[in-house]
Amino acid sequence: MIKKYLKLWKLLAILSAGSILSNRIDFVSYLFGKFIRFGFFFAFILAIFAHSNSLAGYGKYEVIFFFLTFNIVDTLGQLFFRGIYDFRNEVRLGNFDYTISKPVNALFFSLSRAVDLIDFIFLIPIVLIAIYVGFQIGHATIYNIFAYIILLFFGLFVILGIHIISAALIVWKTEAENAIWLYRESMTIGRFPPEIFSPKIKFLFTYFMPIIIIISIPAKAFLNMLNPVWILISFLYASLFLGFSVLIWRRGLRHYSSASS
Amino acid sequence: MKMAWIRAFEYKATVYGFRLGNIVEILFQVVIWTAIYKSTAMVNGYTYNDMMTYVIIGWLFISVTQNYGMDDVIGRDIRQGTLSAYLLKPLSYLRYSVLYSLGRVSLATFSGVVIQGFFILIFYKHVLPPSSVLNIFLILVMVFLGYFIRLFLSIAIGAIAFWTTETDGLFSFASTLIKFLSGGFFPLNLLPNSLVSLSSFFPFAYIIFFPTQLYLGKISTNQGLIGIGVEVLWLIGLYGIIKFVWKKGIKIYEGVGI
Repeated sequence: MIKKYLKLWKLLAILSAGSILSNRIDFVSYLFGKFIRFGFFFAFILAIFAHSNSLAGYGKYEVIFFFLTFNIVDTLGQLFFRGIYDFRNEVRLGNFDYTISKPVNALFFSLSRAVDLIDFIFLIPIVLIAIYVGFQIGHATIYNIFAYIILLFFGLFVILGIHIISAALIVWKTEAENAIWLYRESMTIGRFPPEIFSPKIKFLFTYFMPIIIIISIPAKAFLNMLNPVWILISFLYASLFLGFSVLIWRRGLRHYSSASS
Repeated sequence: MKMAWIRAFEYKATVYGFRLGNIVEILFQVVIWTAIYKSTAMVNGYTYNDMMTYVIIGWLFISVTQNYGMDDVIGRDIRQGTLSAYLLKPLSYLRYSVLYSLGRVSLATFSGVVIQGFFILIFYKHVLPPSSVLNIFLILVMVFLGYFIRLFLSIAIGAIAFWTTETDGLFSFASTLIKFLSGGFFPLNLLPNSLVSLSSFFPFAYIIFFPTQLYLGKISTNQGLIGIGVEVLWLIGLYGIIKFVWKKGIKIYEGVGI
């Protein structure tokens, strides 16, 4: 079963890469757009630290590490689940009928059908910069690095859950495309350490729109600033959230009214 | 204009979602700057109140100068061949685009003003009044011209669809670049001085950055007048570019779908 889906994912990734590379202007423009956005925000952080020694108690490299973790997680989400951005059109035009009639999981197919090569390329320098910044911070142990990677995985499960809920909402009500954009906008709060927010906002973005679990908790684990109990909380949260999202998806599918029939 | 309003009300969830996204983005900027100012009283000549004013008033200018993807609308009309229907009508497509965009922005202006009014009420202690009455007039002119600069840029970018069907990436790239270079994310003078000087020769900074600088009194009325002059020159230049590009583009337009 897993082998079949890995093979299918690989095939979809190859097809998607072929499609992206056949549109060279789009490919270059999107890639440059990503680097420009990254570059400007990077310059913004450097500008902040030209006028201040710390931000909410964090030093320059620590704040940069939060920013890089945001970029890694956000990019991984887009790399693996890019299909959500075209899902509304699929449902609206009735193409989703063809998807559900295929002998594969419709949700897997819909989210994975547009694996993004551009995000993969963008990810390489970001990870390299994160490694460099990690060395500059200096005090991360093997345990910190391991916890960081494990927590990134939990974060990805939560992101998957958010994408599944967004897909369910689109099936339910075609116009609900903005759920995914609300998530994307909310993700931007993960660019900076959570300590800059008030306790109420932190609570909101930890449990209801769990950006802090997705980005800040892994980054704090790397920076050796995390109470280990948060690893357990993140695991439980990611498992429950993912399970809940699948339930919503199944419920949403019952409301699907084929647009083409 | 009426068509744009009807369409916007038809897709209410999209409009609400978009606005909610704006609110999150504004709140994000407010929170970030509040945190930064806890450890310093001044950032490159900006007090906390200056920065709050820049964010909240700057967003008002963003709302009213945006054309919400006119480049995409024009690009789609060219790519899908719907432009042909307009070419047959006794109406200039470019003039139609300007009017249609005005319809879209009128709704955005309304919702943008409501949201910014809401933010001004919440942060009234930190939002500074305009530097002078004369400057208010100059700001209005600057923002009005800024809207047309942005629209002309969108039309010019949208016309690229005459030559390639691969326009989504270009539109996305242009949109990101324009927002940054116009000071939509943070004041441009936090960047090195040479970049600020360079930005004054391009049209982008006159959409948000210069009007807010004038509002805050960080540039003089004379500099504001010079800015308006630069905007007018760019508008003339962009108009010429659009006319040239459109003339060339129409010659190779294939009218897909006819």
